[in-house]
Amino acid sequence: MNIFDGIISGFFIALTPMNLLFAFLGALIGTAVGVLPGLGPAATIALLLPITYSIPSPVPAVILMAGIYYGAMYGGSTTSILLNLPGEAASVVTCIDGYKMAQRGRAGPALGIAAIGSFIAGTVAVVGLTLFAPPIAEFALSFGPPEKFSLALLGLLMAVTLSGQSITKGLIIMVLGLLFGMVGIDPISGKSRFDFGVTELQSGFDFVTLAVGVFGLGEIFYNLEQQDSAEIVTTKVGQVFPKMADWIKSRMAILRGTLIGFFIGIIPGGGAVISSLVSYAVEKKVSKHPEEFGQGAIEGVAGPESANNAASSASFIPLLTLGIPGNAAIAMIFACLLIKGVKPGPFLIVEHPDVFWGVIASMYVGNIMLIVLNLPLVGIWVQLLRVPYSILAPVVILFTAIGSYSIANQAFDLYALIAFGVLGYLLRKLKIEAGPLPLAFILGPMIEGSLRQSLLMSGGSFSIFVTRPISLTLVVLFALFVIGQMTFGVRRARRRPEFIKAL
Amino acid sequence: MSRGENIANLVTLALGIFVTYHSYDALKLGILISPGAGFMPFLCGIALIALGIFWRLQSILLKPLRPVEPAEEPLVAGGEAPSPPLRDSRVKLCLAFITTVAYAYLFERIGFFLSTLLFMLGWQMLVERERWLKSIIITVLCAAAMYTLFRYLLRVELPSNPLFS
Repeated sequence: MNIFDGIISGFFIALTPMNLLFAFLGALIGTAVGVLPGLGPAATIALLLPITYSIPSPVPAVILMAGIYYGAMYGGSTTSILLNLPGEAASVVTCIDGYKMAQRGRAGPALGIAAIGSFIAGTVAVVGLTLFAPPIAEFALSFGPPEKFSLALLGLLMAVTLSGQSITKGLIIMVLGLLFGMVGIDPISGKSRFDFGVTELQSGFDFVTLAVGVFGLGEIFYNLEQQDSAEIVTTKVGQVFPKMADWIKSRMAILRGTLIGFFIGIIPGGGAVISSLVSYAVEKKVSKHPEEFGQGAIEGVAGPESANNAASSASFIPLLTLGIPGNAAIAMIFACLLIKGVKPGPFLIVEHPDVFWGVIASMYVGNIMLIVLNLPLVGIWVQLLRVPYSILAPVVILFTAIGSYSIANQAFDLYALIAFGVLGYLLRKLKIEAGPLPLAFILGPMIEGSLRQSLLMSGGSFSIFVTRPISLTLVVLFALFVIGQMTFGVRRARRRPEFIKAL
Repeated sequence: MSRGENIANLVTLALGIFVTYHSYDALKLGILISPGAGFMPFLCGIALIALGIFWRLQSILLKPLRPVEPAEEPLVAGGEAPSPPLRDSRVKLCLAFITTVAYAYLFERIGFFLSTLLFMLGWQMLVERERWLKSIIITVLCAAAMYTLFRYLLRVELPSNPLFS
């Protein structure tokens, strides 16, 4: 099946009433969680993972999860612009100029350009996904255990080093994630690991329990300590469609943001947060009036918002083609595919073309739904902020508890959930990025399995990783990346205050 | 290195030593051609020890040349509302934790509906310190909504009260 036939068949799948409904639900829930501060897309997808057990087919389940992920990028700008409060991490930089615009009575154009830029970038990135994903998947078909090991390790390392503030802490969390993934029966030797005599631990921790604990419950515990009063929205939104002058100022920012977001989004760990920061820095650099940045420059909203949407769509490329989730939210979608019996990776396009093309086509449809949901209905989304945290917090806890319990119907999972919640809270308190934990947990079995298979193939020699061309290339990239990080990491740590100031 | 980071660093080192020893002693490493169940955890344990030591050294040797000025913090914090007094928020957090643990304990023992009612009531009264009437209304509405959603719409098997079943 060529790309054209594939995408046409994808549209036939995505446009069925059932899949349209799930795309709409995804866009709706995604926008809502993007608007609500303290509940990110990773946590929401994790909360909804147990529900996917009751969805009969993998296609609508993944369409729903994907919709939540890229929908959150649209919604995230709303609270950044109106309240100076980022709904999710990728919208932090939108606060700088978006909120200034709102203070000057230009909240409408700021929200409008954010939604339109998001739509253009999201759509362009899906076109890129359509064109790039099939050849990458075809290339990855030749990968054996050594290549899989090198690729998974490189992907994981990149995700860890690029997503967090401290590489050392990120690596510790990564190793912790690998260890959590090893609890239970070893699939090769049949020996039980780290169960300490607890029967329930022999089947290992469930991904959903870990994810909702760290991201859902941990987030609630952390926010309880931080927030005590709800902000009241007083800003008038007004006309949301930008004027011609705004368009002229923003068009190149949207284009640059789209390209930056797409290419950073492909890299594991690149993701929406980094792309929006890079886009803002680039816009400030190329602007003829850099002094306007921080005072309400519309390019400072258009660029980053386009970049984070392009990145969120592009991050599906390594997931769908290589089976490597690049960030925590994509790891949840990886888990969703596994729950539905679909293994993400190069064989996905051959074994499950309906999932591959159906999800890609649904992203075109989802982007159209999102612009309709976000532009005219922005006033309704703002009302969501009036839901008191005293109701939201216990309801989220109930969701996490029921979600974890329903997987194996055992109360032990509730205690595991609370333990992961405490871990998530402590990581937030220590300002340690929790993202590598689910990534390592989900990739751990693949890394361990392919390492042991490679050693078996080579008769116990590690040279197998450098004698095969693709694996050697990946190992060289891995080494260059480590050296680069060590060199630049030291400089970056010393110059960090200057970098923040430059933004 | 702050006090919290100091403890986290020590926990990392202790965990690394335990995992390394347990992998070597109880799980067994096997041989390179056929690695045992302890091989990968052993590597992870060694990595934790190395990273723990590196973290410690990093905090001693690699201090920023200039500290971040307090005025720059809102960029990261995103203009969050000022925190309530630390003591109050810690008490609130402890109560939330105890309420959640109690919910986990009661979940199977008294069934989903009753435990959810008690959890919501406990949360509203103890954690949020809402008034009686408001607490009861929120509790009943939330518990009924959750029960309807999970039991009837999503058809999730939930534990029922042993006395009523």
